[in-house]
Amino acid sequence: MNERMGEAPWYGRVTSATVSGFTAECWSEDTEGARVPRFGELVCAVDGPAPVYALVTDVATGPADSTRPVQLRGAPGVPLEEVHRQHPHVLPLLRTGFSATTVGHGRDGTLRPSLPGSPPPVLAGVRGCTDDELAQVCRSPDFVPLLMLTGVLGDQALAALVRRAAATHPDPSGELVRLCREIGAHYAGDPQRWMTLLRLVDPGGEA
Amino acid sequence: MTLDLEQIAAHLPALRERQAEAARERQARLQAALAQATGPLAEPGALVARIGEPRTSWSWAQPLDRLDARCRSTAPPARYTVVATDGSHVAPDRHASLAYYVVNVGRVRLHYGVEPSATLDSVAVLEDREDALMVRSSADASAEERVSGALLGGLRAVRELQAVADLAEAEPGDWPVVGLLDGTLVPWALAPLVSGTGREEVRRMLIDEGVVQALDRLRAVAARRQVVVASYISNPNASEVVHALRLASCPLLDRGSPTEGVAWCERCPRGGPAGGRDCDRVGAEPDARPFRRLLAPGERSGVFLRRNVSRDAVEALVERAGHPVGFAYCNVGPEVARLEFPLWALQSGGAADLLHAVVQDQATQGAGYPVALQEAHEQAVITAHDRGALDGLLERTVGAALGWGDVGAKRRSKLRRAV
Repeated sequence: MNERMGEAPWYGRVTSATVSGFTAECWSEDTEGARVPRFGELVCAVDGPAPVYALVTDVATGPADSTRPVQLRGAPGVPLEEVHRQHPHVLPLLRTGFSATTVGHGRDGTLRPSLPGSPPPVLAGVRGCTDDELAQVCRSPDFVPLLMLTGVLGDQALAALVRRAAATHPDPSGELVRLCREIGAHYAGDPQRWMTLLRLVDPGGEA
Repeated sequence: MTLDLEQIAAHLPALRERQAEAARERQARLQAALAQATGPLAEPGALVARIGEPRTSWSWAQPLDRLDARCRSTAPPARYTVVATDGSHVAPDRHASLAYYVVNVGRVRLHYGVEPSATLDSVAVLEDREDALMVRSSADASAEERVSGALLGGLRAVRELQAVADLAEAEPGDWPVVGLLDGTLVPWALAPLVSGTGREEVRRMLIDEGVVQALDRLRAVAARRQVVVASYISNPNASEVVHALRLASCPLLDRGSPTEGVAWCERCPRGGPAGGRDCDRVGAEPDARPFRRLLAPGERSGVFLRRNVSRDAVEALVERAGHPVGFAYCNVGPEVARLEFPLWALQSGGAADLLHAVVQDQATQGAGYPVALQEAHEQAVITAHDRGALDGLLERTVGAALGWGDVGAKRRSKLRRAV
């Protein structure tokens, strides 16, 4: 059973946004119910005039204060847990965040595969999506051209999205073939890139 | 660039020669000071016996151990907590529409051992009340002190010490706790503000209900678990130990009447603006210089007491309240640091070793400066950006509602920075 069939996990809050995407910061590890999204995962910024659906196209972790780089700590071969044990102050000073590219928005109770009229507000909560929302987004993948603009990261995220959408569908193989056929039309002018994406989607070559 | 470096450059050849000569002289003084510190005067009691009761304006150090004592740091305990605080403030600005000050205290709790953890936060307080911005004497209606400058700095230092007491009191478990502060343990610079008539309110606020009460609380915690509190002074500029060596080398000590063998600076045979005093021979100030040579990395000195402290000095007030302050030097590797602590903190078995072990480990982690203090500073610091955001917040939420008048012309010109 898919774990996201239940209550969707909370991932963070929007820290900056445009209509074509947003960045968000994740809550700290010890915040109850908070998690970090996976690369290529479908997420939803729930606050604002309309829920905004977006695909995670990057996940980053590093110092909260960009003027204070993390110093090298721990000798070669020392396990990470031991390094954390010796330097417990480091973890609270780190932040994890993610970037997401808009793939649709909700209006009148339906999910539309187009850009919203306005970006989600800063500090809007971001949660994971249900399998049903994932299926709705993938029903008509007209968001692909926007993802293509983000280059390699967009292609990799799209491949992950397709794999997940197929895996949660009642007919995984059929859904995989359908999605690849519809998405492939957008890559008609760049067969090399399309072949790369296909290998990412389906290393076994079924599609 | 408004500074014409060419004008400065013209002075550099002479400066270089002067500095080279000064370096040679400093080296000779250091050698003489080291020879004195490691000779017969190093024996316990010998230095004080030699100096007696000098008549000098210098503060000087009374060693409680051998003058040249060297103690090696041990490993920290298997499980312990370091709590540290540091502060910063926004002083009242007479050009602003609202008179207020902000004190921000950064707090750090680092727990080491089986279940390591860290808590880093800050506590900010904004005061705009009249009685918080001005301290008035109850004895003299005309005696009042605006809370800014040294007084605000002292208030901040008190809040830092109180925050260490808060953290020590809140610490669970029964493992050792080391409390660290940055700078001097008690704010010596407050002396002019807390002495004399009309100052009793400031004295009550900062000393009796401030430093003393916080140290009382820490001592109460130390009565039920191992707690050591100390302040850490990086690149210390104090010279009490060197002053003691100077006094011990005073030629007046070896004479009979009229001075009866007393080091008496007003009767210095070679005193005066031209310099050349006999004691300059061992004048290797500051203390950190000889201790840099005496102590190997990872070693600490013995404990010293500061002597010849004015009766009205903050230190004397705190001592009379039961908290005499001692100090020691530690070679943490990149530098010699000074630790100041209430003497009671070192009276329990192993307390000095615990403090030294933790300070050395913290400094090693922090590339020469204790990592807990580094992080407390980072939590406390108020940047120019923060200050601008605070001004904007006050203007939007209070100023707009109350229709504050325009800010002063000088402040306005600084904000615009237009050509």
